[in-house]
Amino acid sequence: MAGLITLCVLALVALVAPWITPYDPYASDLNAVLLPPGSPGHVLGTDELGRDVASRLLVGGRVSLIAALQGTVIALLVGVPLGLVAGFFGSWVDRIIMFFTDALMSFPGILLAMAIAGILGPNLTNAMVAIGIVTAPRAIRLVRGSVLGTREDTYIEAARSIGTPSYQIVVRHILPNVLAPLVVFSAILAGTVMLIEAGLSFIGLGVQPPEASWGAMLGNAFNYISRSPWLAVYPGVCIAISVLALNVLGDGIRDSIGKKVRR
Amino acid sequence: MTTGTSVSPSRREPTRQSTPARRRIHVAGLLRNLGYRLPRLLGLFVVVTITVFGLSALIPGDPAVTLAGEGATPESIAAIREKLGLSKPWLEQYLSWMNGVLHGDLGTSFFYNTPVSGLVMSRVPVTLSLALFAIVAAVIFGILAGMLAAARRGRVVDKITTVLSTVGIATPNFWVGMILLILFSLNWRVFPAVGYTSITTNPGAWFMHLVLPGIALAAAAGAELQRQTRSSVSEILSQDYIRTARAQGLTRRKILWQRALKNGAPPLATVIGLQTAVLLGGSVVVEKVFGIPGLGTLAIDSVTLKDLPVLQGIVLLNACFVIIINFATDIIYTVLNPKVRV
Amino acid sequence: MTNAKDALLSVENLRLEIDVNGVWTPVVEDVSFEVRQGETLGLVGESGSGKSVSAMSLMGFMGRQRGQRVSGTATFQGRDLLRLNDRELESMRGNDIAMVFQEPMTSLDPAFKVGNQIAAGIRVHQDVTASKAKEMAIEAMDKVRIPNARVRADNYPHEFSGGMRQRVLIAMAIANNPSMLIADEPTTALDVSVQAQILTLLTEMKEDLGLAMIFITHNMGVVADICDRLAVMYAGQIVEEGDVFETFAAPQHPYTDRLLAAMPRITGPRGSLEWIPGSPPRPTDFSAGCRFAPRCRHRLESCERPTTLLEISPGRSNRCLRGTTWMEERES
Repeated sequence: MAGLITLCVLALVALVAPWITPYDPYASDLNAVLLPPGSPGHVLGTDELGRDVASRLLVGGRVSLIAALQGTVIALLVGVPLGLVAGFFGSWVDRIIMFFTDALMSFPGILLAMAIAGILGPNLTNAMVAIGIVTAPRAIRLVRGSVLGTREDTYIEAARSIGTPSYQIVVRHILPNVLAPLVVFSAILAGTVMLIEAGLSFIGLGVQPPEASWGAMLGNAFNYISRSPWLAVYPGVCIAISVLALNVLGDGIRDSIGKKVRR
Repeated sequence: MTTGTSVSPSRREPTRQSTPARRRIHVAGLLRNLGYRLPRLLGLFVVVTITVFGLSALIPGDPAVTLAGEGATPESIAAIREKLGLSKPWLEQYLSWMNGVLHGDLGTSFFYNTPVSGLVMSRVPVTLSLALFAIVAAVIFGILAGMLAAARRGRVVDKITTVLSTVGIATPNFWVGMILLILFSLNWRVFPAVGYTSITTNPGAWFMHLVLPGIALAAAAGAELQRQTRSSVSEILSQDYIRTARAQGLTRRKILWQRALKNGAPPLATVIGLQTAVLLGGSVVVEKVFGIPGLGTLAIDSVTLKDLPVLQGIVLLNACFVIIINFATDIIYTVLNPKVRV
Repeated sequence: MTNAKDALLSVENLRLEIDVNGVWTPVVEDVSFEVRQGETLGLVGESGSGKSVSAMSLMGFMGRQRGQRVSGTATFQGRDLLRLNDRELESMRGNDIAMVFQEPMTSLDPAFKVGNQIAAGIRVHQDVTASKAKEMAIEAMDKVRIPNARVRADNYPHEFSGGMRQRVLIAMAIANNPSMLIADEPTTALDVSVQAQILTLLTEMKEDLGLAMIFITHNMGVVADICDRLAVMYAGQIVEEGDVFETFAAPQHPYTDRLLAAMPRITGPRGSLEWIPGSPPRPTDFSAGCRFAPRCRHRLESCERPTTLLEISPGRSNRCLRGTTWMEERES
């Protein structure tokens, strides 16, 4: 529950961000460079170009959250169909899909995402595609697992034995059972995507300036870490809170559907 | 005279006994099991190499042009194309590259003009040290915390560790690294901020350099381990056979640390293996934060410099590590699990 | 039958309460019984009657956690079991009092060899070397008639059938020569033929080792087979107690009567199977009066008064408010 509320707040903030920033997040004010938090007019301080940190956080949040959404959607677009096919048809189709899934999972996530994003060219879209591809295997496994689990349930056997056609079985029985864990998984996946995006942006492969995400802000902050250490604090806290909210949301959904399923 | 057979078994009950003859057959079975796995291993390796090689296909536009850089003449572009064999059919390029790989030759760095394998190998011990440090720390704290939480479920210890773990999983490891850096290196000057010393040069310094990045990496992995351990051990402690042990008069401590741990070992081993594999690749950004000259920083540099062979070499190496670790984990699991034995 | 007339275990006013949404709800109450040396007491009742719960409380498995509390006394060899601290409990379990549970398939640790598990129980209470403990474990396995014990001690639980596993559990229980064994429905999960074997085994143990036993079951047939005395439980209370022969011949409480009538018999005139309509109340619905009254054929208005377990004659008690007057209303 708490996760849902936090998430809604975040989503709301992200939506209206461009309109509620006290300062223009892109305007540099070289007279007010690297001001510490608590400075008059800048609650959270300014960065190396004099831009207001609070404003950048708000806009950066919007970018981070939308990016997380993009990456998750891509992973699902790739993963869900493949998982369904693998789970439902079984035999050699399943084995081939799983073989390639395992091969893809042999690559460490961030590294492969780095490689793909780096080669395609550093921009946010490429980064999201890279992350989507890298995290797709998890989605494939989850969906496939759900389908397999449901397929073997006795009530499916019962449905078949009274002659229910295949597509009806899929739609009425299998799909609902796959949907529930999928929603839980998506929430947690979004969190993971956000973390990977932060890493990529930190090293300069994701969001490109003048746009910023929280990860990119951390990257900037790193360059000034000895002079203005406080810059490193806020974006990280924001990321942590968002991912936490997503995880808590996922857990919460899992618990509540658990209660329903246990008939 | 009694035997072990039932008239109408309500559950399938195995009655085979483990005689020395059967144990020999089991060892053979284990080897046969390996026999299945090895071809799969090789298959994975092949697909992985194809994927790594295929990365070069992702280069937008004509790779020779991109690599020649700006202001290149048609001659220099052609020269590059010739040198890299880019005009040959794809399969031929792949095979010659693979040939090199199998002989330990990963190509030549575009930027440094030195063999990739040399560059990569010099960095491997560094990253391995860091990963080892992190996984050991994660295992010790994660499992300890998990067992404590399971033993005192629902009480204060449990709630605190659960909260810590939940937060630990959500925080970016490189950010934890930065905060640690700020606090312990820049502010309080306890640990060095950057760099790395080889263990052979100075073990003390080696340790000090690894502490902060190690903790940063260990946080997420340890949190995951804590959750898994807690969940798995809790489940075990509610089992009937634990009740039997208690009825025999075994102390809670013994039950927790001998019985619960041994029963929980197989799935834990899997998770540890997984986390190790994740850690090896995931140390990339943390290495950058602490200026550790490992594979991660090399990878970042190679991306910035568009040094494809180096990048490919690192990705390939890492993937091989992961495959090997997964394979080892599988085997350990099989060995640990007595049910698979008969 | 019995040698010493002194009670080995004397339970008085045992009461276990569970915190249900903030309200302390008694699950068993006013439970008093005795077990003498070498004697087998049957604790009989339907599921939910509180028979298992009572035994668990004696062993300290219930009543000590958060949300549970136990009162009353359970005197065993001069000490009150309900007041022992953790260390004393652990020293008593498997040593003076042993317990065997219902599900043999899941009651053995799958990760350890069987001999190892038995030996572990021995080493907790006796100061012996590992090899000596293993020898003793094999001896115990021999006593429970596990063929080829020496070899089988090195097997894992999944290599044994259900009946064999129960034997192992019994071996574990008797390994340290306890004075008393509590068997909680040890044969319920087994096939009928195996059931008979285990019951025979337990009878042998009882005779060879002079074991006192509390045998918990819902099966009156088993009670007839193996018990000397019985205590019938319903809705958390003991409703009748007495010698098995006497009680079977002339049950004093309507519930006992119904239980006996419900036993399918091979001999005698054929009729339809008897059963008791309705179901036992849940602890949250326990009434202050006679709890069996809603299902009793002989109930009267006066049955709503609070009940006590009255000792009618030495060793014979009855909770029925109507005493034996209800017997006149029985058909045949």
